[in-house]
Amino acid sequence: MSSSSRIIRDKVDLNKLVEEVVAKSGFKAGAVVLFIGFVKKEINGVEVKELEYTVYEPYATRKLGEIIEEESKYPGVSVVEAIHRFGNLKPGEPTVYIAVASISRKEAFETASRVLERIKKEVPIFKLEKRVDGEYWVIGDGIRVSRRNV
Amino acid sequence: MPRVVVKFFSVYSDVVNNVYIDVDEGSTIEDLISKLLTKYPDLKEIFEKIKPIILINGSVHDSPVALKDGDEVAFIPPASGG
Repeated sequence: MSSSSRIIRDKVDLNKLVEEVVAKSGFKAGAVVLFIGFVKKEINGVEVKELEYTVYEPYATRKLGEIIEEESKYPGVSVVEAIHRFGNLKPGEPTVYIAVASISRKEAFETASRVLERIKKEVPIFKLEKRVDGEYWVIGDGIRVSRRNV
Repeated sequence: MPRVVVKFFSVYSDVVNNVYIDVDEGSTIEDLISKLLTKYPDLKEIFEKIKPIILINGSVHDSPVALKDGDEVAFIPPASGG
């Protein structure tokens, strides 16, 4: 059983991801939870053209790896995979994938949720929201600062 | 004289991107910030608005440490991945 994480530009093959997670569990997993984050087309009623993700490497990859290693030790959890994308992503495109295989569903749901919250807070990844009314840096989980005001 | 590379991310990168800064021997982050604010005064307003998290070679230091030649200092806001 080996958990892993990556920060990549491309999309992920979902079937392959789930098959890999189940195989890595040694086929002992009774549940796999797959979370996928997407770019939303609208924020506060304003159309979003794209999100630009920038990453502070190598520290983002290192921190993501630490999170996965810690969370995969949670009792009942077999495998945790986390993949975050970077670059310019359009509405409808996936941004982050989290797959958790565990003995039963409870651990898988809880761990997937915890991993997502930790990624959002701990991994140095930054989002620029390009909207029809301008460009906004997203700070933390919701503050937006217009580039025009800087 | 130690030379450090300073990287600015997200909202701070609108003011300045990556720069090399020469600091005096024994300088701390506070000394570096003073230098940066003199050189890039627009940082002051944005630092007051969004307090930066400061990483030295990828780690947060709770107590003052002397900067060394080749150190990488990053100014980042709260992360916004996901």
